Amino acid sequence: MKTKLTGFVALLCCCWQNTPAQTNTGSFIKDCTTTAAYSIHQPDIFSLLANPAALAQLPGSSAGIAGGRKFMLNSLAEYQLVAGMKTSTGNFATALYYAGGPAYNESQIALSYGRSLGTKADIGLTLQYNSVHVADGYGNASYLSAEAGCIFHLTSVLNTGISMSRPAGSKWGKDKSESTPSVYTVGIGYEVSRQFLITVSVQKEEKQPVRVNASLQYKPVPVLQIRAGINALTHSGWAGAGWSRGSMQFYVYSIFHPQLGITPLMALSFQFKKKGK
Amino acid sequence: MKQVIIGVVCMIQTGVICAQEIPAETEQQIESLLSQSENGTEDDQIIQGLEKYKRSPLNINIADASALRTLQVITDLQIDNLIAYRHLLGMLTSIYELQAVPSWDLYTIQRIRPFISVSISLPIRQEMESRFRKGEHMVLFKISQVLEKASGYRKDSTNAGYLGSPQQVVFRYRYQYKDLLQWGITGDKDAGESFLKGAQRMGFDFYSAHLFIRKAGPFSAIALGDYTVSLGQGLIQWQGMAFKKSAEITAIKRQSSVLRPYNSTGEFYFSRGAGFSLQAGKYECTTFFSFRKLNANRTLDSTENYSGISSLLSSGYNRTFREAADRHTVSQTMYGLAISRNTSRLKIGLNGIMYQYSLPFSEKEEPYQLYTIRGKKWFNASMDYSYTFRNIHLFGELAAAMNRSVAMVNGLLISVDPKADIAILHRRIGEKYQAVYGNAFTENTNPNNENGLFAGISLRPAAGWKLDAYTDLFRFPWLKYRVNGPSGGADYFVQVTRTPNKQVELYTRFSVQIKERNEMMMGTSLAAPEKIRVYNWLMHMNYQVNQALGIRTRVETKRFQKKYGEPEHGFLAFFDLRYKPLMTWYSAVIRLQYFETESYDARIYAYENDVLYSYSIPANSGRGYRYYVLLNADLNRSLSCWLRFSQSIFPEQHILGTQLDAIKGSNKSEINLQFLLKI
Repeated sequence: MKTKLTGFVALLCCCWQNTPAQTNTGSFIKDCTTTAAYSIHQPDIFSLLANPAALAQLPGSSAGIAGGRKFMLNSLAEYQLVAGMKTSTGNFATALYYAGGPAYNESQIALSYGRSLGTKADIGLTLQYNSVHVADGYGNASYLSAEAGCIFHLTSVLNTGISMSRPAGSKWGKDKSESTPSVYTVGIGYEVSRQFLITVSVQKEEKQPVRVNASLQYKPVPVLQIRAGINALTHSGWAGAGWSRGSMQFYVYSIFHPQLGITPLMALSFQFKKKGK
Repeated sequence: MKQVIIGVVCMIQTGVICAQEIPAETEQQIESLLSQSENGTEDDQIIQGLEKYKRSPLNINIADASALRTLQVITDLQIDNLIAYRHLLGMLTSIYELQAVPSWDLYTIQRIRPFISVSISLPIRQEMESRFRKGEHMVLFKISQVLEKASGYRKDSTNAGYLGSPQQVVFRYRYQYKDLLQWGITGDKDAGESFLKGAQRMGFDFYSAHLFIRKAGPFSAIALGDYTVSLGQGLIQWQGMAFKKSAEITAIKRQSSVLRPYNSTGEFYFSRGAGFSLQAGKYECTTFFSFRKLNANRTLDSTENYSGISSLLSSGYNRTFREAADRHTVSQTMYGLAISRNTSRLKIGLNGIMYQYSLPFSEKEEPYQLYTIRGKKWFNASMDYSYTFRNIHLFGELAAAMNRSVAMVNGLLISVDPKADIAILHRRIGEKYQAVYGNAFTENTNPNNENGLFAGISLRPAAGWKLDAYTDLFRFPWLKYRVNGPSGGADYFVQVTRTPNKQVELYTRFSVQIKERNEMMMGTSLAAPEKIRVYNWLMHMNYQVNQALGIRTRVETKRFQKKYGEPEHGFLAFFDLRYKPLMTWYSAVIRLQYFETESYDARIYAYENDVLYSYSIPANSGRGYRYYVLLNADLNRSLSCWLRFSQSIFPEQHILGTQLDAIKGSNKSEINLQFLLKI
């Protein structure tokens, strides 16, 4: 019974995400942790998950880890590890992703590069190695994919960007009969002040309805940050609070879906201090 | 004070608008027009006009109302106020003084700036000599072709395919001195039409020639050859291109000179003959005569002779035996008279126009066609007016047709504040009313069978912010094509534009359109009008990254909702790169586009740059990718060339198009090459 229930909820999750189960475009970690992607003053290491060009604005070498369980189900757990390094020729990052459980899971290893083109534009590229594991006969399948993005700094407080993930699609599987769709994202961020950021992104995945995500980020006091957002497609909302101490930030989020319930999520990020400071 | 104003306005930013070939607002208007009418147009008069003024700016110190209207960028209220200002304070000393003119705001000046100048006028005698010596000769040659072979070009035994080659060829020669003297010739061969054989033994399928003179003695205009006639508010005649509902809220008034030269490649909306406008003080009298052979579908009588016209064909295509058989089969004689009295504030005009055909229009079978034009003759008459009082501009037209039906349009433009404009337009057009070349501000393509009220507001609440909104409520008292009963609908539109600096323009738009269309009634085979709702949301950005590089990106979604069945969705996103370094001889535009629509009803239109004087607004439907590359090179001071390659890729389709235009495969590619010589 429990297996059936889990299967049913997994099916609903696919509907909620409106993506095939084997893609991480509907990752709830990405939804919550990337609110600062279209920002100059408040970027963090997770921003590159929304647009690889956001890596260019990384203030220093950083690392982050996030994890949660969708609708409190073990078989729908999701984990993300990201680490980025700032260099004089651009910023590099690597990311590891895992979602699912023993019966079905997908994982990804990604390498990203982002750099600024002057003060007005940033570009970025991510190369991904994806693998899918299905128990009971199917086994493993893997494929390569790429995501490219750019962010334009229209003014000191207004930033916009686009990204394309797998623009030509990705065929995979035993007989290459399965495919991962292309995803196009356009986002805009408005930094009302150093404490308050509003971001709206529009995401189109092939053959799926348009997803519109709106989020805000507010820092009422230096040690506390509040984040919240909505997904117009699924009518679900989320909220989270972050606590800063030194170069470490710890966040707790909760996503609420009217039918499927609560998804808890935690994230921890650390920014390494520059030498001599 | 004057100097202060000039000093302040010297800081006017022109960035985003000047970086484009035509104003972004005009692009939006053209886009809106085509998505509403669903018909393509070959009328490039507006772009030609703007390009002309970019090269030879209109001197606003001497331009009269008629010349200012040809810009199609400013309203009649602004024109009247400018002329009144000149009368009161004399000539403008600088273009920046325009901000001191009532109802002229920074936004308007930014838009008009590339097309106007302020200079001292030359004596009229010198002008007359200059007309023949100082004008510009222009020769244009354009060739374009769809690279994939359509089924119409495959030879078979039935000879039902296209008779000619797949190239479209345009040739145009024009001499022009400002807007005072112009002559030229145009030749056009559409794709599939023959050249120097078959029905086109004289070479091109379509030729057009014109001579147009303005301000010659008592004549304010003389038109010989091909020209357009535009009267009043378009209820009885408007042959030029005219915009309808768009983000330009105040562009609700039809404004143009009665006579204008014609040298586009469109083969229907123009007159051929002679027209004269005579000015005597405040009075202007225009008379015109036209005789043309038109393409028409004809009906046969019981003796197998052609007895009537079932429809006039406006496409101009003569590509197959069947189309060639309808070529130039009906003659049309048109003549008319327009008399107007113009003062700085008030204009009243009387217009009459008569049409005669070699064959009568046949009676139509469909109920919705009950009131269409019949017989060999048709007549329309109208009275039009406009009046400016302070910041209020009233205008309208009352028209009648030969079948004793009437129509009227009345509008109001108010500049309630330097930061706010209001536009209201009411129309009441009877179901019996018909006009051959009518083109008024209506929801329908032609002005008939429509009552409606349009109300819009344009707000500029703070620097860099603009809000445009309108609502349009309309009723159609009689049946329409695909609407088996009286029907109605509404349009709601709001657009917010943000221009934070001279490099950036962002706008977002939301619109809802409610109309009725036949749907099959549940459980029956009867079709009855049911409401359809179309929701549209768009985000657009223009960004001039530096002096050489500009980007443009758009995301648009659409939801088409019928009463029965699931809603159909559409999505389109594009990304443009425009590279044009200053003082260099080359430029390039590249677009990458993705679109996905669930049906043709959910199709989305997007404006595309094309070779000079051309534009492309394809209807994107299905799922696919589209890209184009446009290269421009100014080879020397006289010779320029353009090359454009575009391709649409539909991964899931194996046949594109239908009937003779059907292409095997998933790709459709088109190449355009254009040369322009200016001496």
